[in-house]
Amino acid sequence: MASRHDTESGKPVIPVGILYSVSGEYGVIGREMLNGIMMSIEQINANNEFDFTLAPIVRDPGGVLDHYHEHCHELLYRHGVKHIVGCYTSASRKVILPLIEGANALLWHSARYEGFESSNNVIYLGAAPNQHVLPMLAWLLREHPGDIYHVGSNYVWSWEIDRITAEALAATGHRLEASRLVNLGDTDVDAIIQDIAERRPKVVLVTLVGQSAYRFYHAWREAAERDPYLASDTVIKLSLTLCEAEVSLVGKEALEGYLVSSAWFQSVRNEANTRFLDQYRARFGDHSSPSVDSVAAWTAGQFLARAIHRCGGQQVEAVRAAAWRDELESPAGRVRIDPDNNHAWLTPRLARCHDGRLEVFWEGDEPIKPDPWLTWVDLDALGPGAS
Amino acid sequence: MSRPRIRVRGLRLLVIACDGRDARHLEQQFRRLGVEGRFYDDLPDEQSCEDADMVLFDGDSPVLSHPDRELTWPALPLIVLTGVEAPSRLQWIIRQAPSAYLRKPVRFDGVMTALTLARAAADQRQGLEARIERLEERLRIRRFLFSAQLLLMKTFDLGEDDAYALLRSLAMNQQKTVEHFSLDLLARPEGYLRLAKDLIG
Repeated sequence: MASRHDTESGKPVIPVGILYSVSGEYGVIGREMLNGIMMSIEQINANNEFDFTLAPIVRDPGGVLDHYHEHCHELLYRHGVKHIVGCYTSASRKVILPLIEGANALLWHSARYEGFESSNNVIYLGAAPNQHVLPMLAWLLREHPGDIYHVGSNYVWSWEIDRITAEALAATGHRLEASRLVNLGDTDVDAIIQDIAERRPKVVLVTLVGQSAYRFYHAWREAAERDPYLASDTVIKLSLTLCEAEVSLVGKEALEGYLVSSAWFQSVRNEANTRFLDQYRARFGDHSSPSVDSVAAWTAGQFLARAIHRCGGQQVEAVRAAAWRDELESPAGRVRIDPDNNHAWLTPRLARCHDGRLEVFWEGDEPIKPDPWLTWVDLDALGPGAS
Repeated sequence: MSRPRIRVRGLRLLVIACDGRDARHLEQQFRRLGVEGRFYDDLPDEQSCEDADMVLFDGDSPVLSHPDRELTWPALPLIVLTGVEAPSRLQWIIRQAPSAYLRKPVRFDGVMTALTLARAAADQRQGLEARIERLEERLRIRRFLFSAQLLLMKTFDLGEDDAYALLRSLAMNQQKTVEHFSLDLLARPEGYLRLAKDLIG
């Protein structure tokens, strides 16, 4: 199974590469994901049911694409890892994918993304658009049909949500009344808020990320002191990116009332989640605030260990097949990996930000089959009356 | 039919918004192929494009692909580097009208194919555009052909087919297309009608 043995337990040791950026532009999220996978590995190593231990080899690419490539190469060829948990942006995943495929390794990818990819060498634990973008749009078109003002970051995630939203709206006779995309890291958002104040849209969809998003929330709050429309709760503010760690970072006042779509929130009620939250706070402190990304990274570790345990080795084909046959009672509910496309079945949820908490107010009846290519979804049929 | 010669040596490429490993791999492969690559962070000014043969750009670049930005490409074959297959990205790429593509990350194969196909596709497109232009012009002046035909029918009491045959003979004598000759005939009918009368005998 593995050449090295743990000196304390005597169990064989399996090296696992961890490739999250805990520094750089999206370091806050990277830290959440690192926490999730490290806690998962610690729990696996302390669990006598597993007859091996996982040895994490942690690398921080700092959000630099070339560093992802260098570290991934090192993990694969110097440390001989067959499994890597990591990446957050699609750009970083695309950079290391040829390396992963060339070495026939397996990347355990925890972040939600825009879809339109299915590699045999990746297990995708994050939500595909049909699991969190479409459920939010369907809810919105049902409850608050109308035009939408979109403000996002100028990268593929926002572009794709812009397209999906425009196509779904067109079928209902509504439209995107504006799409304002700011360059990544750009914090000059005052003109956009001014434009929103003048147009007074019924719904504002925010897909900004990082510093641009944080500045937008603050700038809105500042402008709301002078503008009753911005201060009112008649405008529906939607986010597809907000997570609990960011609520703590930005401050609850600026985020009051935001509606967020995600496969997990701290407020999800189930036993596994209560246990997860207790363990997370015990491990990282009462002030810590796990996000959907922490949970997905934790889940990746669990699926990996259970699959190795089931198939008796770390060989990629066997681990992947074992993962397909598994089902986990996770903090996000029942999760399994779809053998058609290696993405996770996830339950969609919507939450409202109130007093600094993301409180779930709607959730799907059961996990949704991932459809990363949006092959089986008809965007025209999202509106009211659709089956 | 002769086979086109496949050689890319001497090509001058503008390489735009490609960075890191992709740019380094392109540079290395260009050296091997005898291709001159000039690297820019953004679309260069017109002067820099003057003596270039082709453009290669990163289709995922946030510098190039801001939705508020309409790019004015030089009239050269375009090759796009693509990584993301999301439809929104593909819609943007379609708007740029590339002649070939190369997948990211750039590897040591595929560059030769992309350069060759881009040039061939651009040549084919150029040929088709020139042909369309010629046909459109003929279509534009087609109505004059009908007027000229009618003039001959009335003047010489001819049927439709005979009038057209006469018009074609006159055009051939003048070494012009029927459409272009029709224009001349309508502009200066007297002289040409005399010629026509001689032809009819």
